[in-house]
Amino acid sequence: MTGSDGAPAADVLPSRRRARTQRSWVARVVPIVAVAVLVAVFADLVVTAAAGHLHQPQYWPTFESQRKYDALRAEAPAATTVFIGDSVLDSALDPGLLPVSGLGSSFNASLAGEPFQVLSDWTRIVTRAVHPKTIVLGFDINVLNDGNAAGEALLADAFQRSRPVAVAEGRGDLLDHLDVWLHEHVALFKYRSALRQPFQNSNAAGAQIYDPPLTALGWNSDFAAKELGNTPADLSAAVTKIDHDILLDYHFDDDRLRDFASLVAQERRTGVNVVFVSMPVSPAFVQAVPGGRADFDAAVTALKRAAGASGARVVPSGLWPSRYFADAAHFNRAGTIRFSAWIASELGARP
Amino acid sequence: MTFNSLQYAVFLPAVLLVYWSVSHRLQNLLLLVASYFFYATFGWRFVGLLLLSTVTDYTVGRVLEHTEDEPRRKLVFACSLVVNLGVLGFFKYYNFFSDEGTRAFGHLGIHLAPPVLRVLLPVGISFYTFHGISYAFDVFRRRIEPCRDPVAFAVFVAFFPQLVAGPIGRAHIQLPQIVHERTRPDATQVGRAVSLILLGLLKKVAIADLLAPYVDSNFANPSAQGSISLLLGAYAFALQIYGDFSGYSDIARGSAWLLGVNLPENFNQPYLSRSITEFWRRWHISLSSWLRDYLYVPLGGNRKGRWNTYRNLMLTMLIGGLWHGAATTFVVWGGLHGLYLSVERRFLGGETRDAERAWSWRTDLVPALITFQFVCLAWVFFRAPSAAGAVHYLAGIVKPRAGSVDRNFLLTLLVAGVVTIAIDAAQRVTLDHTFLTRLRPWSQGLVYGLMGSAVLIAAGGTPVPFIYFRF
Repeated sequence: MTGSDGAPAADVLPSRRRARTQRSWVARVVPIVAVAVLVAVFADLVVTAAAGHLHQPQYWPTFESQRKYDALRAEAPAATTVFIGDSVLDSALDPGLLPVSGLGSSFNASLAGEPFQVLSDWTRIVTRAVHPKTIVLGFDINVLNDGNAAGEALLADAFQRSRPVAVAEGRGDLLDHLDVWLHEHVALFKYRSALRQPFQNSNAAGAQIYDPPLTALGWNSDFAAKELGNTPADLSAAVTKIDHDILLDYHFDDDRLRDFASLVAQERRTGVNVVFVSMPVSPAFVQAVPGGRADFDAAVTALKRAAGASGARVVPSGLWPSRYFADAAHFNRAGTIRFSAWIASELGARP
Repeated sequence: MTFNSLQYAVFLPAVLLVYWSVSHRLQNLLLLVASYFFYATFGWRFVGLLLLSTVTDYTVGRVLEHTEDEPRRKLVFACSLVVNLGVLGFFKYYNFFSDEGTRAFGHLGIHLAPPVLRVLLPVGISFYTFHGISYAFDVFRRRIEPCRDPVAFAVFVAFFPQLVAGPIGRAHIQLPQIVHERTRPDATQVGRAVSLILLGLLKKVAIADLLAPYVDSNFANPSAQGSISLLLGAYAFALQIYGDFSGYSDIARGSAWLLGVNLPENFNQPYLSRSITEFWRRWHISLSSWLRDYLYVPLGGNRKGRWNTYRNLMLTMLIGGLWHGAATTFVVWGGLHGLYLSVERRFLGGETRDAERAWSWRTDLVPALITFQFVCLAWVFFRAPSAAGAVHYLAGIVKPRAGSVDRNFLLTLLVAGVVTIAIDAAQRVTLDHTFLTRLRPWSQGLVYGLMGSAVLIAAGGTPVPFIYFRF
């Protein structure tokens, strides 16, 4: 491909020059990109090594949902029985006290402080993540209360819009998946809030309250102490507040009942056994129901009927003595031991 | 789709891939479609306004081309002004003038009840209407030939890298670049463009966005802060808005370079300015030069005596302030700068005008620091929720008040300040905004690796919108 004088033919010359230019361009870009990647990887390794000294970042809407989701996935598919409820079941059940035979491995996936809309989404996430044999839903009649609908809608909206929730529910887009992937694999990204604010652990206070140490089975072991306060005075004030607020603006809502029935039916359709536990309550709780005992009984009956009609096995309870409760609704340690033993026998576990 | 979003990281390469594999005519068509798509991602309902402004100015240009009669030309040009300023006035200023007018008449005992409208501000309206006005004005003054290619003209108005926050383009510079065939950037130019984009991303994400929460908390509740914290909050906002807006401009210019289009420089190390006059030759250059050419000079500039010059300066800066938004805070901000410029002109005269004079740490540091204080004073009005809020903020600084300063804030401010000064100093010394490309490859890799790590740490879940998108 040369001309008569040995020089490159005119049509070949530009393409050779182009190839040479391209080679020099590549030779220039490759070291830049390689060094840049190495620097970023080195920085990531440094942060990974220092991760033990950094506070754990929160990227789920709450620490508790994040920790429990991570723990659930680590346990999967070992958990055959998963308990889901609000703070009442969260404080009531210690899976460590449950016998393995009969129930298999158990996990308390209850979330404190979350409204029913969130717990409903959460139940779907749990089912999708671990495919348990049995889901035990434990609620008292507060699940039917729409007294704080606006506040609960805000929490539910925040939960729904969260990227990890979207991915966990299987409806996330590419960006949601990328965000979660970066969280799970890139320490620079995962610990970015701690790296931005090295002088304070801004989530530390929240972490103590909402992210208590969990047992391997997800039991919130410090619930009563951490949620209600550390000193007797704190505890007393918190109990007074909970006793006052527990059924504040209580209003029985038919839509909530339908939502509850729909959750049970949906879980049943996935092939999961659903057990509904009507949570034991204290006498103080029943007194707090605006319509008194009659309204309480009517609401409990409605709940049990809805659960049963939707395919759940219903485990009724009733009033338990005050000595088992830390306040009007939540169990103390004695109550936890009592409830765990009771629910094990109700579910047919063999000691 | 903001420049700091992952969507843009997909959008730009996708456009580039198709763009450089088709003919010039198709390139323009692609740019038009891409630009309208880009704009629609901020709200498709406002695409009609962009189209209205484009059609009006294109038609005005074509009619002016065939009109020699001067009164008729004026009438045609007035059409462009009425449509562009009408759209801008309605969407941007209706609520402001309605509220302020009602209040003013209320003081006189006249109670008005204008219709209450919830008018949403279309993104970038201030920028593309100014594009259109400058084109119509230049055609009207016979400075440029009207554009005959409707697609090229539509691309000039809607060119996506500069559509929502500038730089405000000039028709005589930019239209020929759209009309004529563009040269594909070579490897060096691509390297410079990518370097500028990365620098812009760093300024936006790792400087502006990290300072934003501290600035927000300071300005939201100045009473809860000590004097030192408030003072640092004002400095932090100065760095935040600079990082935000110059970062945007860098990404816009870098993106345009990749498309073979050269956009005007918008920032040139403004905080190293030794006077307010110099500051305005280095800050938001495309707006300040627009105001100079289309407002200050037509008003008479400095040609009609000292007092008329002061009046023109004041008017130009007040309107410049109002351009930013319909609020008294922006008017006060503009008024302060008008006052600064007038005072400088009276007492310092021509000494303030030599923006190109080499910078010397020995002689220029003190004037630059003093200038920066005056700029920050005006920024307090720009940022505060109200004029009264700004006065309250400044009173908190002047009247010594104890209060702790968040150590994270201090560290962030320090790092942001050092990085900003380092970038500006390097650009000033090298006279090159893409100075990083002058480094050896391994040094470039080191710097880009650090920049990438910083962006990764600073990036949040949802990209923070650019401040100037509001204007």
